[in-house]
This record gives sequence, C-alpha cells and structure tokens, in this order.
Amino acid sequence: MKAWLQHFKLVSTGRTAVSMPSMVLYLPLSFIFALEREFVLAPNNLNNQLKIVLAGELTSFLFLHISAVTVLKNRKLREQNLFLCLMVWAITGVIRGFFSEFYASSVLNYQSYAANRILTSVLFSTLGLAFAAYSFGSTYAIDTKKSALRSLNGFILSENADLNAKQSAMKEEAIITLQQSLVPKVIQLQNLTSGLKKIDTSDALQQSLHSLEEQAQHLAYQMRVNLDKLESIPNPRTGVTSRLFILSKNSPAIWPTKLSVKLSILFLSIGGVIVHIGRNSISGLLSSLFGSVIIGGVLLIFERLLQKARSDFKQFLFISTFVCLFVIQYFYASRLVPEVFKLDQPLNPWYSSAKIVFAVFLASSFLSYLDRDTSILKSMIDQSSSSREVLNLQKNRYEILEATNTSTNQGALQGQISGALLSLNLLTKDEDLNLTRLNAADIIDNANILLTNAILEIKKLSL
Amino acid sequence: MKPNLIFIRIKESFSPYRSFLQERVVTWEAFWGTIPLSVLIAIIFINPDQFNFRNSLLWTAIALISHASMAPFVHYLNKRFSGRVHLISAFALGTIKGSVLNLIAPVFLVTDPLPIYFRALNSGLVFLYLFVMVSMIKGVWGKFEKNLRDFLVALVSNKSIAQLISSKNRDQIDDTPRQDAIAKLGKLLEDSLAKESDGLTLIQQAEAIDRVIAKNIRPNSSQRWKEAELIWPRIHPWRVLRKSFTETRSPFFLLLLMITPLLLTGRSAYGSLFNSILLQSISLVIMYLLINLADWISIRARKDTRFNNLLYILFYVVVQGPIIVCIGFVLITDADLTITRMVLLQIGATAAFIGFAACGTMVLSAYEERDKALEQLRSLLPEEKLREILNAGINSNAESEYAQYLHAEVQAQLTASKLLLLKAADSDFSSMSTETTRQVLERIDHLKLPYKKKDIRVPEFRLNELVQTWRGLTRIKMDLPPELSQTCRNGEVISQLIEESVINAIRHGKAKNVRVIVWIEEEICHIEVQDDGKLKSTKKRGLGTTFFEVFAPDWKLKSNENGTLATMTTPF
Repeated sequence: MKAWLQHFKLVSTGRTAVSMPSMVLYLPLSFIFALEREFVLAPNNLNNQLKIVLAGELTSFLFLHISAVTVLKNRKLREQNLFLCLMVWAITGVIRGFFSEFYASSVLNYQSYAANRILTSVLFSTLGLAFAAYSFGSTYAIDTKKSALRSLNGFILSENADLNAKQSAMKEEAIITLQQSLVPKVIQLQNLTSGLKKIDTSDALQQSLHSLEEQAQHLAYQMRVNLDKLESIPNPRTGVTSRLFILSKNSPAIWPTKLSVKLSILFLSIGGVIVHIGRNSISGLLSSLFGSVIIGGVLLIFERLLQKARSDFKQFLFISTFVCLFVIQYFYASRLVPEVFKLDQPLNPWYSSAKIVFAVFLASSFLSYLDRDTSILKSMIDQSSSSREVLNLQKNRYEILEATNTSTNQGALQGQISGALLSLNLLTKDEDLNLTRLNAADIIDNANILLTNAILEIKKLSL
Repeated sequence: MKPNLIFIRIKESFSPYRSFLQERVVTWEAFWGTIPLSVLIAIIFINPDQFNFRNSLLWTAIALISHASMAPFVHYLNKRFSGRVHLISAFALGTIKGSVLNLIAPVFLVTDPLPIYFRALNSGLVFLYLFVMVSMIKGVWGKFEKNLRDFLVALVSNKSIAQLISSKNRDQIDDTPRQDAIAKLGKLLEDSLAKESDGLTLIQQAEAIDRVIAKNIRPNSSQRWKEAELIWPRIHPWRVLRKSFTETRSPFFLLLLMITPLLLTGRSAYGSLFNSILLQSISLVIMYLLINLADWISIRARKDTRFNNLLYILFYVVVQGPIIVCIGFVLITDADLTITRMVLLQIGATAAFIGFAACGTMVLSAYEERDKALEQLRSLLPEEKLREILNAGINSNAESEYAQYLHAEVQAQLTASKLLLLKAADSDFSSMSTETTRQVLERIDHLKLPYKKKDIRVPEFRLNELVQTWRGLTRIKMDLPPELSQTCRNGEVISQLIEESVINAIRHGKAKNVRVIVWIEEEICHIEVQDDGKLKSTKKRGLGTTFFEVFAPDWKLKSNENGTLATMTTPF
C-alpha cells in the first residue's frame, strides 16, 4: 500500500496534476454526474439543469486553470506536494458545487441544496481529478521512459557505428603491420637461426641455437595464429534499430485486452456512493455498494474465464462480459432494488446498466492500455540494456585491437624481435668483431630471452 | 453534371481558401481580433432590444466577459497541436463562449432569448468561422513572407536555385534600378552577417537576411511593386480590398454555401429546423438565379468585374433580402419576433455576409496574384551575385571561432544528455524524476547537431582539448592529478563535470579566466572551478544543473572575492 501511495504521488503530482488532457477526461464525466444530480434537484427543465451544471463546471475549470498557472505552476519542473494537489482537487469540487448551488438558488430561484451539491461535488472532483492525474501521469511517465530509451538508443547506435568504422580500420592496420613488418622479420630470424646452426660450434652452443630455432618457429607460429585470428574477425555491422525504438506513438486501441476487477469495483463503489448519497441517503448508498459486490463477483468469474480462454475466443468473451453485466445490472436495478431498498429516487435501469458497463469498460481499457505500454517499455529496457552490453564488449575488443597495433608498431614486440635480429646479425655478419664462444653464447641467450618475451607479449595480445 | 464532378468543382473552389488557412487557427491574434465582432454579434443578434442604450451596454459587457472565457484555452492551444485539433477546439471554444454568455446574462438582469444548448451550438459555429477567417487573412499577410524565407533559405542551403528562379521576367526589367538594388542588398547582407552572425545557426542567418530585406529592401522597392501592379496586402490593405473588388469576380454563391450552416442555426433560433432549412434553401435558389442573371447582364452589357460584383450585392440586398424577410414572417412562429426585429436581423445578417464576401474575394484575389510578387523578387536578385555574397558570409562564419565554440558546447551538452540518460536507464529510471528526464529529452530535441562521441578517453587529454577549444575567448588553467592522465572508470563523468562547470562560467558568468583544481582522496574526486565571472542565478534549471545534481549531488556555487567558485565531488 505504501509503495502504491509513493507511486501515486510520483506520477500524479507532476505536470498531470492539473493539465488540459486530464481536465478533458474529467469534465465530461463530471458533467454527466452533475446533470444526473440536477435531474433530481432541479427537475423538469433541461435548459435550467444544463445551466446549473455548466455554471459549476465552467467556474471550476477556471479555478483549475488559475491553480495551474499559480500554485501548481512548477509542476512541470518537479513533483508537487501531494497535500497541495489534494487541496486543489477538493477546492475545485467546492467551487463546482458552490456555483451550481448559487446559480440554482439565486439566479434560477430553485430550492437550495447547498450541502448536497457541495458534498457530492467535492467527493467527485477530488477522486475524479486524482484518477485523471494518475492515469495521465502513469502514461506520461511510461512515455517519457520510452522516449528516453529511444534517445539513448540513438546515442548507442551513433557510438556503435563510429566504433565499427574505427574497428574495421584498426583491424586492417593491424593485419598490414603484422604482414609487412613483423612477419618478414620473423622469417629473417628463422633463416638466421638455421644458418647459425650450420656453423661448427660446441654442443652447448648447438643446444642454445637449437632452442633459439625452436623459439623462432614458435614465434612464427604464434604470429600466424594471431594473423589468422585478426583476419577471421568479421567486419562489424552497423546495428539495426529495433521496431520498438522506431515506433514513437502509443497504440491507439481502446478496446480492452484485460478485465480490471479491482479498479472496476472501486469505480462502481465510489461512483455509486457519490450519486446515491445525494439522491437516496443511506439506503441508496447500501444499494450501490451491494450492486458493486454483485458486479465484482461477475467480473471475477469472467476474469478467470478470460485467463483460460483461447486468444481467438477472448473477443467474444469480452463482449459477453459486457452484455452479461448489462443484463445483471438491469435486473438488479429494475427488480431487486425496488423490492429490497425502496429508494425515493431510483435510477432508470437502462441508464444505470449503461453506466455500469461504461465504468467497467473505462477501468478495463485504462488497465489494458497501461499493461500494453508497460510490456513494451519492459522489452525496450531489455533491448536497451543488451545493446549497451554489446557496445561495452565492442569497446573492449577495440581496446585490444588498439593495444595490438600499438605494440606491433612501436611497442615492446617490435623492439624484442628487432633486438633478437640485431644480436644474431652480430654473430653472422660482423666479421671484424672477434667474438669468443662465451660471447656468442651470451648473445644467443639474450636473443632467446628476447624471443621468449616476444612470444609472451604476442600471446598477451591474443584476441 | 454528375454529382462527383460537382463535388470536384466545389472542392477546387475551396482550394484558394485552404491554401491560406494556417495550420493553427486558435491564436491570440484571432482571440483579440474577434473581440469587436463578438461584441457586435451580442448587440445586434442577441440583444432583444437594440434601441435601448442601457441594454446595448449590458450586452457589450456580457460579450466581453464571455469572450474572455476563451482565454485559458487560447493560452493552452496557442502554437501547439495539429490543425485538426485546432479546428475542433475553435468550435469548442465558441460553445464555451456561448454557454458563458447564456449563463451570465441573468446575472446582469437580462436574458438570452435562446436556450443554452442552442446558444452554445450557434456560438461554436460562429467562432469556428471567425477563427478560420482570421487565420486565412493572416495567411494572406504571411504567405509572401514565408515564400520569401523559403526562397532565401534555399539559397543559403546552396540548393539548386535554377528551379527557384525563373528567367521569365528578367529581360523586361530595366537594369539600373536592379543593379542598385543588388548593390544595396549586397551591402546590407554583408552588414547583417557581420553584425548578426554571433550565436546564430545558418537557418537563423537566413532569417536575419529575410529581416533585412523586410526592413530595408521591401519598403524602398514599394514603388516597383506598385508599378508592377502587385497585390501586396501589407503595404496597402485598403487598396488590396478595392482592387480585389474591381478585378476579381466574387465567388458569391460559394461563399453563400460556406456560410449556410451558420445561417441555418441562426434561423433555427426563431423557428423549427424544418422551416429554417426551407428558408435557407429558398434563399440559395433565389441567389443562384440572381447570380446567373447578374452574370448574363454583365456579359450582355459588356461591363467589367466591378459592375458584376456590384450587381451581386445589389441583388442580394434589394431582391433576396426582402423576399426572405417576407417568407420568414410567414414561416416563423416566434411571438417575440416582430417585423421590425426581423428586418433588423436581416440587415445585420446581410451586412455580415457582405463583410464575409469581401474577405472571401480578397483571399481569392491574393491567391491569384501572390506568385507574381515572388516572381518579381526572384527576377530582381540575380542568382550568381546573391550566392556569392551569401557564400562569403557563410564561409567566413563557418570558419569563425564562434562556430567552433558553439559546436563544442553543443557536443558537450549532447554528451551530458547521453550520460544522464545512461544513468537513468541503468538505475531503471529511479535516479531521475520523470520531469527531469523529460527536460533532458527536450534539450536533446533542441540540439540539432548530430552527436559525435569524443575519441579521447583519458580525462587529461580531453580537458586539454577543452582548454584549446576556448582559447582566445577565455583562459583556462588546469591543475589535474596524475590519476587523470590515464583512463579511469568514471573518467567520462569527471571530464564532463569539469566541462559543464567551465562552459557555465563562460556562458553565464562571462568569465575571462577559469582555474580548475582537481584532486583524488580515498576514491573520491574533488573538483574546484574558480572563475572571475559573476555568479548568475537563473530560475530556469538547465541541463548543467541536472547533470550536477545527478552525478555530483553535493555541488555548490558561491561567489567570493575572486569571482565565482564551483565545488563538487564525485566517485573516482
């Protein structure tokens, strides 16, 4: 409950606390409810009834607009105080009731029903505006998150494309460096070690030379492996945007895909209480609550049936639910209510049934819409997080490639192989130098160490 | 004629009006512009006793108050939403205005003769017409400017202008004034680019050129426009009206058809719907015959358009009016509707229709003539010269330092937006409120440049680049720890925080010297940015504020003897 309240505060006290779309949703319903009230309080003249209702609706709308540009003007920047929002919604009801009362009693000279008009207006406005703010706030929050993910996806795609282009270029560069710069040196190294082996030397030196030749072969092999790996890296493709990120508009479908039991019962109970408390006092209130329980039970049964039904059968079941609700409510309002509750101002059974069906439809439609949007958002979040992971992986791969290139071009690998080559060249080409056997052994050992390091380095750079 | 052909012809007849109809009809101009009509309608058509001065005053007050009831909606709809929403809203606003009028009349101790639902419907239709009319008149005024702007923007964007410029009229124009105009334009354009290039995008520059032409070239060239007999409503509205009446045959019957729904509801107020339809149908048939008669007389007498239009009005007033009043008197059963009031209502309706017809004819006239005006301007500006001047201006600006600063700032903002969105998505949108996320998105929408990720991952290198970028405008000194000379986990955020602080100091504080000191202590990065600018507090939260709040919630900004000091910490 606390979590729900927090969520309610979060989504309802932002820009939708008072907004034109929420007012547009609220006003027709409020108009119908008020007109229904005036059918009893100012009977027999539709023109006057309309005037009384409109006097309240238009002044309350003006108050809402004034609140939007004064006390709640910062609602687009940050969440507002929940108490303040509740006060605005409740005062809207007071104004609505007061001006209806004023117009009816002072301008049109009808009997005064101040308490009745103001109380029902306050109840309806507070709850109606809160629901309007919550419903629009929820969809707005989801929509914002979707837009944020779409924008983020744009950034990711842009970085991805950029990284792909660089990675391809880097790979080409690494292959060329290996093929043109290092591979010839390794071949030269192999030739040198083979050549040195033919020179008559001691066993120890022969062993060192043998080891050197093996190291050179190992290096050549490792170089080949790295080259093959580099060549086998596929050129990255620019990511294809998922349809989820391209579709920017919410699905306009208003037909429900889910039956809302809890919200419908809430609507029916509160709506019934507001209407009947003004018309039939306690017995009316009890009749509406009892009716809500019956409708709730029927809804529960149909909800279960819908959960188990095949998808192609669901539409039919939905229509059946509404027809069934209409029939049951008609029977309840026309037969049971007059017998059991004996109301002074009972509602017309046709009207009552239509209203119940509309309330259930509205609740289910809202829930389905929210459900649909939430599932789309969830898919978008999943896709976005996986594309971020892919981007991170790609960044890591790019960093390895970059390190390979740095090392092969001007890093340790280049130096170690060149050092080994230089040492061996000393043994074979520089005839002026009088190299002792000890010196030769040292040089070969040093070349061996350099080659071992080179192999380690190249293994470290393995992709 | 087949029905579909009639439909096509009617549709074609509407096209001049559609072409001038603005996307959004509910505007403040329409709201203010319709106040006199709102008052006149209340006094003439609603007030039951027009000869009573006190009553007329009361209805004026009622009309003004009821008109004001539309203000909140205009405030909300102005410059927002689609054309369709605006058309529906125009009707809805009228119904609200009508309802308020009906409701407050008893407060002033007078009564609206119509029931509230009928008044609402009637007023809804009236204001739909009025808002559409104002929109079309605005369209006539604004169309040329729009075309001119498109023409210049196309030139600035280096589009092929061969298609824009027709050589049709080029040879017919005397070269001397043309050369003068070119020379003058060239100077003005250069001045304008030099003066106004700061802070403007290329498109804004084009609009600046447009302003220069609007302010300087057009008034000076008005003689040429006059000589060329061009319709130019901004210069001589009365002349346009007169010219329209004398040169354009008024689409009288079409306008009558257009106004039929309004007349129908107006007549229904005083009788049954059936009687109203009957009366309106009779009126249309009579007018159709009279219009044909007027055309026939004009052709036979070889008279001009002016004579033809005068005949229309004459027949409408002298023949159709009395016939309709007589038939109306027989058909309408409303006891309150005396013959005097009926005649008065007919006179009011006739006057309103003639006004409507005048506007309609003017729109048609402007539609027929509008291309000539643009053609004239196009022939006045030889493409090579204009392109040369514009290109010179654009190139010099593109190379300017300002473009570099602007680009750097936009890229910094885009990077900040990306980091904020990443943070929001990573935290499942719990780190930022919905409103803050929306503000970041709105900012991204405003930044038109494509995002380019900074290659430099080492914070020190990136910050040195920042120093280079702003060189010449602000001296920036960086005192960075060795930890920032290599890539680090939070390096991008740290660099961005420093960039944001520096750009804020330059942009808002107008700082000339900025010193950045950064040190790391126990995996926490401390940032201090001291500048010699002024601490400027803005009520509006910018992207920088959001960025600091999300990534360095303890950030502070205070003024000291050296200027302004920004301090913050963030995880290293």
